[in-house]
Amino acid sequence: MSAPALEVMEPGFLSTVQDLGRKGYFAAGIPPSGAFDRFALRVGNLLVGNPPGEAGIEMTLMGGRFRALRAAVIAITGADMGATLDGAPLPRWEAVPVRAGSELAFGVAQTGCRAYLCPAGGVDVPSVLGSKSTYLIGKIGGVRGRPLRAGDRLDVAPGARATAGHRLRPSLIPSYGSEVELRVLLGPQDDHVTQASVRTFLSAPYKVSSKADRVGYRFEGAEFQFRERAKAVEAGSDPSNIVDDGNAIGAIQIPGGKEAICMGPDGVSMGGYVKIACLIAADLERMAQAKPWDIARFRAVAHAEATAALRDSLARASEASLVK
Amino acid sequence: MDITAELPGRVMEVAVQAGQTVRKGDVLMALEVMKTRVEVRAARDGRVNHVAVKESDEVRMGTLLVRLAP
Amino acid sequence: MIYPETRYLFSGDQYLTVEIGDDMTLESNFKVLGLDLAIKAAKIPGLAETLPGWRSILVHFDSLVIDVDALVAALREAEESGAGAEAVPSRLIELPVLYGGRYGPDLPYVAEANGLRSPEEAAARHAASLHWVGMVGFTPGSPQLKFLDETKRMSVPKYTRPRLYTPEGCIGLGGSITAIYPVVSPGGYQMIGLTPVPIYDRFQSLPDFEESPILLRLGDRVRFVPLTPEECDLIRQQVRECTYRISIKEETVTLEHLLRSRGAA
Repeated sequence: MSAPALEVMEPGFLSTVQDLGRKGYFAAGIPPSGAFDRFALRVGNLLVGNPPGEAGIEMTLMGGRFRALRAAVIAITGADMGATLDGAPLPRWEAVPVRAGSELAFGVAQTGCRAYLCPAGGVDVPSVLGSKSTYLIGKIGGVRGRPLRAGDRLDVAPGARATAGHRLRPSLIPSYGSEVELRVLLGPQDDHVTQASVRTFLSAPYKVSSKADRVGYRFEGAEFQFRERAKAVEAGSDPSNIVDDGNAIGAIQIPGGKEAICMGPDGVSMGGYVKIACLIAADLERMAQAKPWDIARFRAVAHAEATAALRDSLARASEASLVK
Repeated sequence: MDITAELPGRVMEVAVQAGQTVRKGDVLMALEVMKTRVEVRAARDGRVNHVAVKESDEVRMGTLLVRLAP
Repeated sequence: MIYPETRYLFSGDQYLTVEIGDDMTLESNFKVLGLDLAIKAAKIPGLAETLPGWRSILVHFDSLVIDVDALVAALREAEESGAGAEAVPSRLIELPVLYGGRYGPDLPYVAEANGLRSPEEAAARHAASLHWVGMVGFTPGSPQLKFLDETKRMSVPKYTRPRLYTPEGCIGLGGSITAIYPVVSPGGYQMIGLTPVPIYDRFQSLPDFEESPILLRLGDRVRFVPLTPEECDLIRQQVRECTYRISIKEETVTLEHLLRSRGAA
């Protein structure tokens, strides 16, 4: 039986309830949503004894203030927002007990971009189309399809077992810098772009722009040139136009050859622009922790390496990674 | 008093100029931060001594935006 | 054109694009529809979902469950099985539209660009053709539709600078593709009218949205029914009261018949 457990005093820059996402509606134009940094959410949940896909709170760039309405066990993972518990430093990547009336406060992310607050039992909001994740454009999921607001009282389901003190093995704690390597698979339309542009894309620095959010991250940098090809009828007159097709999460479109736009978890499901490459699934969590003006470098990998990276990310977010 | 950027973004609009008097809460400028419009307001009454940025400038955490007197 | 050989392209490590051609013809779309049905029927392990489009299918799979080569082999097998390429389920759906006026400010431009004498004529032409849903996406339930009657087809360029705001329910025309905006969003299609009927009902409160929050799917045929402002208001009221029923007829079509009959079943 859920009861209100967390009160939002200040929501911060953008905080939403997210689990591991919504499956089966991509063809309807409803993207998976879910935590941008899936590794951080999984670990946060495991630390407090939840199944890894339970719903938690994703905070962006600057976190908020929350009051515990009853005793709870919580874990903070992801970016360092200078978290405090009643004014004292609150360790990340660790299950921490909080008393009724305690205040959790988060500031601006010093490193990284997104932090996760995972309560034991998970945030209890209605499941919409099979998921508790918030999809802002579609206004569904989370707290009534919107970001958290001051005054929101979040229910938390009863936690399974006491895990206070459990923490992530220190060697597995990620460190976030102002430069990030993003691994990609080239294609599906890398053949529309000149070889020289592909080489530049894979070597030059690209800057995360201020137009970066859950829908997608724009990267500013060297522009792209297109190969001469027969134009497909009805695609559009610009060489970066293609007949619309599906966008993978992580797909990198280059409209007009000017900017690279990489689809995030709320990414639009289809697009009419050349996609030079797609981010590997394991590196969505790296992009999740990048913020405006960070430098990204794209590196092409083969499918086998991408799969190994995903397997590795899942292995790192497992029970075996915790020190109990 | 130095008013600096709290969050990284791009200057969208500058609403004040040097010499202008402002009241506490007045909007000094608007920034685009991760596709969101964020308004920077005067923390107290004062006079604008110096506007350190212009439209479309990149700002990082700590970048000086406006200097208010006193 | 439809490629002599279907292309299988990586889209990251968890998606494949199965590309059958490069155009937006009915032939290509029909092939996609048939292939999508065949892929679904094959129940390939590790395949999460498919996103069919005008000339390709985005396949989402779990690379930790199925090897890429095994997946491509299974997809090729589904393609070769030819299942569903002949006749496909296609619903005939009526959507009422208030053409022109406040919500169709670009209708005069559409008329002019197509050598028509008046915006009313452009509206009549648009409504006189059935329209085929060739793709759904971008925003929840947002369709792209193609004129099924070539003699009624109109074409306009999209906005050179997209608008920041398009109202919910707006009917837009870009190139010769009709789009419907299910939620407020930026947009670049010419605004020709508005439908008071939702195509995305997030609370699934209307009776016809019981199974899904979205109305339209690939293969549907839409008849746009012109309204007077009074009729539009009446429908709006019924939508608000959650009593409005959309006319939906389940039918089956073959490509050959579709081309001959301009969309009638």
